[in-house]
Amino acid sequence: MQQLSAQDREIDLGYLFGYYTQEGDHSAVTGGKGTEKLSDYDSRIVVHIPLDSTQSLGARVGINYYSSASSDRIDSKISSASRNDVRTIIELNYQKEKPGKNTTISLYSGGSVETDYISSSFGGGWMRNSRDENTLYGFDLKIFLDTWNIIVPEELRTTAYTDIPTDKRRTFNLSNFWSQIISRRSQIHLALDLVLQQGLLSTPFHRVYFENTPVPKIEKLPTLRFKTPLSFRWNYRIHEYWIWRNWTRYYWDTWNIHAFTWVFESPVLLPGGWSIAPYYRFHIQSAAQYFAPKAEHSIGKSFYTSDFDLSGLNSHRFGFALQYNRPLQLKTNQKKLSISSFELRSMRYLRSDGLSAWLAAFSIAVKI
Amino acid sequence: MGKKVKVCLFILTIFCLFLPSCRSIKGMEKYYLSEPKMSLQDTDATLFENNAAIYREGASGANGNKAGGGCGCH
Repeated sequence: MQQLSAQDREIDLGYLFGYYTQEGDHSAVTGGKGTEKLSDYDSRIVVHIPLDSTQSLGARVGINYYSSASSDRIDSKISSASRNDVRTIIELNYQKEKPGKNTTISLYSGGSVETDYISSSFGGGWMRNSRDENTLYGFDLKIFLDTWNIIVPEELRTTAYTDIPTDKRRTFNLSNFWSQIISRRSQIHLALDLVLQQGLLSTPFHRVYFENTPVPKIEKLPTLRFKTPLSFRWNYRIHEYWIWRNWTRYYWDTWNIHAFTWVFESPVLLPGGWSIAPYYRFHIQSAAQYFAPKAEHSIGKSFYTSDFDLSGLNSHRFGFALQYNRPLQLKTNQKKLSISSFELRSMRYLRSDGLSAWLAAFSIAVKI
Repeated sequence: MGKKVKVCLFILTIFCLFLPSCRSIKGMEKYYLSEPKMSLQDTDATLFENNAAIYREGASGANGNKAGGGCGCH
């Protein structure tokens, strides 16, 4: 292993806390009509440890606590244990650079656990930088092997299991990317994901109601789905103190969802390493071919959902970020500690079917 | 020509419009690009916010985050 300088031996440690809350009236648990009130508290720690001048290890550990009024409607016991849940996540990664070839390889492994879902994942990546470091391209492959702990609505527990083909879900996610510096003020990034999902792709505790039939069934969706999102990012330094960040995405999948997303962020750089960044996001999508609102499905269809996340919709997201990016040395008795960045972020989300949400996040990164 | 093919061709055309302006930018000329807000990656707080969209919309991916798997979401 090559010796590291004092600066290169520094460990990067980051912490993020986020709060999300939403309200709406199209809960899929109650068949597409009902409260979607939900609150989520998310806390994560990220560590990056350089092993030598070419190798590093990283870890991300997180826990989220969420409470959901709609999940409380899975059975008739209101405010029962189904109202709250905790999800724990851990991810590990390893990177090795090959300086002579300007390439970097990465390996990943991770997992998450919550009451009704267990996930394990692994993968790897490769990227190459050009000699002048103006062009970067590569790919990442992540594989998720997940298992549902199947919970169905209380009144359907004698009949629903025949509609559940498996408790497994597998996802293969291949991300390809290409970045290019265009000029002294401009750079672009193109990304294409190819995603294949197989297994139980519906949610077992979602109800679906049919025309002229009072008794619901559980949501039933195909066991195969292929997705292709293609995105383009363009960052432009319009002025010494003003930046434009644009991101657009076109999405298509085999459930017939076509979507377009555009994000515009406009950071303004202030003295002392501060910046403020208002941003706006617009999203529009067509409905999945298996979607219909409550009690509008006809009996006899092979697949059906009343989950409004898969409906035809558009959404607007307005937000504001305050960021600090200049190293701030802190004097401690034992060791050097410096704050490398922190960010405060707040967002308001409005969806065309009436769902609204608010999010606030705080992150801080230090070097020790 | 199918709608999907037309959209892909449109995106590639916009992309190719940028190519003629590419030239090799040397290290000392990257002053404006080195600003953290010029990064092509999203911050952790932005990725967290994007995750909220993954749970509320049918489309995801191509943004440095996963496009499926790891959760009971779409």
